[in-house]
Amino acid sequence: MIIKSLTENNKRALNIIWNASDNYYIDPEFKVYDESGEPDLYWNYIIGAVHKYYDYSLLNSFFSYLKTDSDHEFYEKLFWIGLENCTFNKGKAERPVLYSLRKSYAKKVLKGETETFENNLLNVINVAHFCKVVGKTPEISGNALNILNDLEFDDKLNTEEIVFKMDQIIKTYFRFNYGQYEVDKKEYKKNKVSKDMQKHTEYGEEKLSDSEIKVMSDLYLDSAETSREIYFEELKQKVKKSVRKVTVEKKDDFERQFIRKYFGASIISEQKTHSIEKSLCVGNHKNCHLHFTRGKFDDEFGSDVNAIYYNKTLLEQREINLEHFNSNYIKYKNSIIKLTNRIRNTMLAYFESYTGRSEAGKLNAPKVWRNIYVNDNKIFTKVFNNDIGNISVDILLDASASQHERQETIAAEGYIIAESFTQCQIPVRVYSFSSLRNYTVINLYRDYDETDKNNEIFNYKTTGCNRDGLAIRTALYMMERSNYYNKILIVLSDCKPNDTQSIPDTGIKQEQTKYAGATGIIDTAYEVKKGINNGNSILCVFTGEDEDVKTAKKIYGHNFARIYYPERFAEIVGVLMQNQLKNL
Amino acid sequence: MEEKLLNFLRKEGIRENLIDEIDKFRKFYKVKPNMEYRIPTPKYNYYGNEVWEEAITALLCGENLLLVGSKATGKNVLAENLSAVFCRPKWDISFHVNTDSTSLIGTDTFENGQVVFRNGPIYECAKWGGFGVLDEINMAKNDSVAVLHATLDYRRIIDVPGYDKIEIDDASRFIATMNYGYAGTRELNEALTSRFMVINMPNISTKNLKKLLQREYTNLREEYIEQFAGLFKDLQLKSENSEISTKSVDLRGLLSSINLMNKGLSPIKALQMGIANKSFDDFERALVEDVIRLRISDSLERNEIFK
Repeated sequence: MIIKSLTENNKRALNIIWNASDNYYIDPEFKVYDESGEPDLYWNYIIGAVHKYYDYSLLNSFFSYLKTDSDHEFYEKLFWIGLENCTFNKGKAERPVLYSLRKSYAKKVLKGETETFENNLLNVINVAHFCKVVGKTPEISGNALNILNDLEFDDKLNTEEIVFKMDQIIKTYFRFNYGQYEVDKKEYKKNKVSKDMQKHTEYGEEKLSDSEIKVMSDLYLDSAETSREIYFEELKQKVKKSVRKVTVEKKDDFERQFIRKYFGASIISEQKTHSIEKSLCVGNHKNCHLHFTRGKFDDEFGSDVNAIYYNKTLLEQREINLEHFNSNYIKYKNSIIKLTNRIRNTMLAYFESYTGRSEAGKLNAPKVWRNIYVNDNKIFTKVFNNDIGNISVDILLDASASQHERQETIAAEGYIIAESFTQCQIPVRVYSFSSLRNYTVINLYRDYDETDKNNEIFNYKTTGCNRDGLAIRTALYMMERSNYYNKILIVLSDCKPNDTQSIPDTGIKQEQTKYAGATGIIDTAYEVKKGINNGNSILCVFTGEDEDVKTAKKIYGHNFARIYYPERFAEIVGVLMQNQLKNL
Repeated sequence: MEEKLLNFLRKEGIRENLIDEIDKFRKFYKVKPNMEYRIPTPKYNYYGNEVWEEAITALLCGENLLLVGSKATGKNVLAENLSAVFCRPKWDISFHVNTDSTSLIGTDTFENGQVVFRNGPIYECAKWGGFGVLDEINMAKNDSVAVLHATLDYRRIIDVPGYDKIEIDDASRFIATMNYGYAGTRELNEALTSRFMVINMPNISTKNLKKLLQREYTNLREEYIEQFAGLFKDLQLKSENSEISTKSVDLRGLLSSINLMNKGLSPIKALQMGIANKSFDDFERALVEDVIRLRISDSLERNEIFK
């Protein structure tokens, strides 16, 4: 019996335990795998059934108590032998198959095919116990036999009695580390109290603080970086004193360099970026800049410590995103299947062409008589085309720091939508946006034709602020340049526009207004309306907190979905898509 | 036969006054002898008295029924049972994408050198006072089912352009079934939906599944009725928790597997064919097989399951 957590078969073991306990919300501490790493059916059943038949919270506190001894693994395993006995007896009526499962496990033990314990006594007791299972008399005597007899708990005992009995066994036959326990218990209590308090205070301070902390740390990084740059700038200025005239452009270059370092190389030429900026960074977004990247490390900064560090954090986040996805693989995969079916179904059901009788079209000769005898004018056949033209979908992920806590979920959700559309052969483009300093960075993960690159979405990492208005304006600008007939933009956002870079005030005073709160919302809503008026479909999958639902409604009208339960993600997004597709 | 069904309803705990009404209905609306062959003899009985009472009451009041539920919830079993209980000839009409008015109401045909109208199943059903089962009604396009609007509402007529208008027999009822969200299905339009009373068909309960198994396989040992019902419940629970898809939660598959076991195939193999292999994803199949192995031993033989 190996008690450890393996991610690969972990999910399978969990499923056996859930099945046995009839409770899919438990997160068991123990799982059992055989020598080859496969989950052991019988033992995982026992673990699940213990949750079903006994009060696990009581057992759990007893397990914690056992942990105060350095040799706790020995006691735990001993206790499990006892629990196996009573749980089997309780469960056998419900599942007669347990007889044969238990027997075959016992045979394995006797053949030595299961894990042998470090502790010899444990081995002896274990073997003797399963010897009895197959109907043989165990060859033990003395204390070992007494322990075994005491350990094989009767199935009539309740949880408290079992715990009491186990405690008696430990006290009678072993030297449990009492002193240690007493001290630990006190400390445990103390720790618990202080931890609880900590929890409380953490809660009291509200979630806001987390994102604020993140923003602060970003800013901190940012300023550290800036100061270094200034330092460099100073150095440069020392070398070349005569270039004062072009400092403004130089500054832009420095900023851009910093952005490239932080977010990766640009995918379009600087010239082109400037020309796009000229047409987009106007009005409320004057003085802003854009940066288009794929998040690929810019080799120019191969020796730059900061650039390498940023790249490393990016890769780390990718690992976290992927791990989250893999550990919820089944759920997410089901979501993809459901969403794909829904989209495919809508496409099938609404957009197929059909042939019908008509008053004009191709003459249907066998029906001509109807016109003469029954006055039926519909003697022609015509293909009624329901073709709505090709569709493209752009997915825009909000990658601002306020989304920091749910990065993995958003990456997974983006992936689910992209993968579902890909499976329906609908071209998808996925990118994220965030703003740092006065740059709004568009990070492209996959383009329409890159059907095998949905995995890149896991490179999603949040940082900085978000200038939703400019991001949506840019997305629409990019969409305008594609050749598709129907263009859908799906924004995954918490609808909290917030950028430190202000919008230029049109008033007399040179006072600037921050791009946040009402200002940001109105600007974003304006961009969305403009996009819809130009014939695009814009939808929002709301990822934020309850308090911002109102904002989401203001910006996107009815075209937004709120995900209350992640399990229902596919259904909710599916309905949203279905309604949108139907209205094309 | 007819008495047997009424007794079954009594055993299921259906209110006596409803059974009386059914009896009156049967006596009042006689079936023409040439149509008697269409009155079904159900292979399976439907279990679940709430649904029974809802359906019977609606039909007695002259309403049409729409049965909505996922697969293997007994939609067609109930429809068949209802025509048997009410003693009405039954017409089965399967809907598909190309269903149109001609396939429902009727079409032109030649007879003795003359063009005549050949009645479609809806027309026939309306004429002979039968029960029309509109299977998978949401597979058809909404506009092609629109011809049924006048048939299904208070007008109770069928108007065939160029031929005739007939009134629907008082004893006729239409029972539609649909599985919402299946591939190829579409939203039912509101105009059509409003012409039905809708019953949401629940998944079969463990108690009713046991009854079904008991009746279906009289030689099945009591403890294995428990195990098969338990197996189905385990799978349902797993699917409800989104750990597996619904592919393997297949009652038809379970019943077929038991048939194969009865013929001598090893139980574990039969269940693999009927249940586990229905999901084509390797990992999901492993999960389903774990559930099976916690109910049925690998080495189980036929004679251990059957008496």
